[in-house]
Amino acid sequence: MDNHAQILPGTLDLLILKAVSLGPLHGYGVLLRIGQISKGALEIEQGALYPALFRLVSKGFLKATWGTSDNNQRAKFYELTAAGRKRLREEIADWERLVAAIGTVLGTRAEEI
Amino acid sequence: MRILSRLRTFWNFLFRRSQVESDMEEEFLSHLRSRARDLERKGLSRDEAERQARVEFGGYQRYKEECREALGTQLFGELIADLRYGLRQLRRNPGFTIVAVLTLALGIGANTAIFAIIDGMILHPFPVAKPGQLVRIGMETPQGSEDRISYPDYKDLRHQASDFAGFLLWDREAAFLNSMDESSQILIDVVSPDYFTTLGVAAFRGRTFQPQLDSGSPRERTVVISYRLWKTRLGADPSIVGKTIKMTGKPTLVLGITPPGFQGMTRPVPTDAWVLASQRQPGVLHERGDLFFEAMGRLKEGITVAQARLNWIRSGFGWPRLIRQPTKQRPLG
Repeated sequence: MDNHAQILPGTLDLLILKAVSLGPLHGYGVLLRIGQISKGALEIEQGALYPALFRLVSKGFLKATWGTSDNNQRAKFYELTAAGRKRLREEIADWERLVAAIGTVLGTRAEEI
Repeated sequence: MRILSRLRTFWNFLFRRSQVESDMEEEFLSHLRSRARDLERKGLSRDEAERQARVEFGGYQRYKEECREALGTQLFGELIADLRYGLRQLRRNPGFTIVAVLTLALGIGANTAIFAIIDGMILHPFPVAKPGQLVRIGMETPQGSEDRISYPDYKDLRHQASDFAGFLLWDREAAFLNSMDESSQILIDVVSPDYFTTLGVAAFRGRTFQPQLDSGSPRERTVVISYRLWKTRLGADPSIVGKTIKMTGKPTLVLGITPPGFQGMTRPVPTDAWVLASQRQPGVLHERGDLFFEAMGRLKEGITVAQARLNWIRSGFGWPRLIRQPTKQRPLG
């Protein structure tokens, strides 16, 4: 049975912000971190990451700087800006409210989800 | 001034795509390489790993296009925000208005550069002699790191003979072939005289540039054309070497043709022709502030990047920096 959830548009941004909040990462690193924190449940087409990263930079939530990766290659690193951190907090709060609301609708207690 | 710097970035984004494109390409390729490496660790063969990495990546060109759009939006938005801020400042300082307006007017010019269509992700090693010995050279300035240097900087570098067998410069430009209309726009690299000899690229027909530094005195305009240009736009004319063609309205002598497969050092957009830097406005050869050129050096046999860096610092020649080596690339997929 396929246990991979479909990523809704907008949730990819949230996952990226969350992944990067734990420390600056390059593109591939973001992918790996998303895999780690979702325990492999959320799969995306890998290239789709980059337009999302670029858009988050363009909105001012991420900052990109060129640096050196662990195997001495030149790589572009992404990190959260202050605006990004704020956005992440807001999105998490929204998400939790949504989960609680759906839980109520489905007649299940929020803690059981 | 922040506006000028933003304008330059936006100008570069619009008309000198090579840097933006190669950055994006480098980022994507680095991802694919990392993924392929991880897949190999899981037991796949190299070929299978590379193929799988590409499949997992998905629509390479489509994602690049989306990234370009996002970047354009970002740069444009930042530029507008800065222009608004600048206008507010100008209203308070009317004396500066004229200068600022002139600067902006000069910045937003005409002459669209053409972009070669990036077709396919087929990677080959750079078809030059011993690519592993080549390093990109940049600069540290008080304003930050730069990937480009000026012509006088390059001349200074040539005095640093101890670890390096040679240096080369290039800068991308648009030019017109034979006529001045849109359809005959080509991409050329304006290069230092020792570009071909340092890269170790010999002419397929005719010859390439003599490696002696120009004195900057006026001389006949010459061009080295690419094999691809010769075949596609010049009808593979067997007697093209020694003929005069028109480039951007000026009669230019064809010195030679590069070997098939050599497309310049700006990946993945190929170069159509090469001209000497001395054929640009003479000022460019002397302006230390004009960081126009991309630069590379060839390390001497047996010298490593680390050694060269160390010697550079020791010699007090601190400001140019070795930024990275071009990737040794293998065919993917």
